[in-house]
Amino acid sequence: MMDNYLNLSNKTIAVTGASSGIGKAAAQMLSRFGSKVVLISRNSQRLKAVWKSLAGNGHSYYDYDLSKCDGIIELVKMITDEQGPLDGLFHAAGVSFMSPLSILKEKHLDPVIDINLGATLMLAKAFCLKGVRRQGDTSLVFMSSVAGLRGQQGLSVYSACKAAVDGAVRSLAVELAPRQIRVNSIAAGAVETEMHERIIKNLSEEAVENYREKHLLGFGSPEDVANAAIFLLSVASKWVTGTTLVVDGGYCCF
Amino acid sequence: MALDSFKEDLSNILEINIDDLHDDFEFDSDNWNSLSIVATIVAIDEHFAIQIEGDKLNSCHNVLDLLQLISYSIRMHDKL
Repeated sequence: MMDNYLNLSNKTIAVTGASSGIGKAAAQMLSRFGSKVVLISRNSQRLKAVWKSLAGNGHSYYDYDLSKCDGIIELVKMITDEQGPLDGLFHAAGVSFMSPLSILKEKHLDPVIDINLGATLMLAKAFCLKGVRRQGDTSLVFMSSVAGLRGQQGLSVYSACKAAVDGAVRSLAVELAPRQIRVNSIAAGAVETEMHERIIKNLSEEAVENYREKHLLGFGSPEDVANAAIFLLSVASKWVTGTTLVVDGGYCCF
Repeated sequence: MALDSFKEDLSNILEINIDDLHDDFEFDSDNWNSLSIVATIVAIDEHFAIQIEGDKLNSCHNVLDLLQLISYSIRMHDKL
């Protein structure tokens, strides 16, 4: 039994942000573990390419911009009407936002809050609806960040959103445990994704090297974080809820 | 319009009144540090939709240098 504890065959798992980075890596890994994967992303072209790259059959993809929180319930209902009930959901979609306070404007706030926090809560709400999830142990996994745990210049809005996700996870875990829904988040350090590349290309070589050195094991790969998501989605974590799993190559040791 | 908005942000970044933001306003280690450079990168991206590396901004000595760098970067970007 213990040798297949990560077996996710016959499970249907939805992954947001599935067209790139961590979401893409998780979707591909889930398919290799036997899951039927529902891909969600706003980039339909890349989404289709990821869909084609998945192992096995029965996968599907949905083109949706999750910053539009008011349509998430309908989206999830449509998905489960067409694909059947979900066993789990990994919300990897998000946007980073760097803006020192000196140039921060009120108009910057909503787009960052909507996708990082609003979508998290609406996806959780949708997952609880009748017919959306399968009976028995189910799992919600939300992407958080070490930015929610450690301070960094210019990241106050992003940090606040990710700390809010971690806070929401605790309360959602309490609220949803009676329905056998586990709720956890992953606080990732710097992972070498396209988003990461966009951030570091604006930094000096010295600043990038300092940033790298704070990650004792170097920058991570999308697969490093996807591994944690697989664990939290699988029965291997059936006694884990309300936690933030730090996957950061040692960044938070300081 | 974009330039005016950018100058407003730049005056906030440098923590000076916008009326004092002249071409010959000198940058020093107090007003032109890693945080202000990051803020300037973000402001340039927002107002001009171009990205300028921190190292290039760090080599600017005054407001005129910065505006010339932005102007040059916009021309290079438009050629692409």
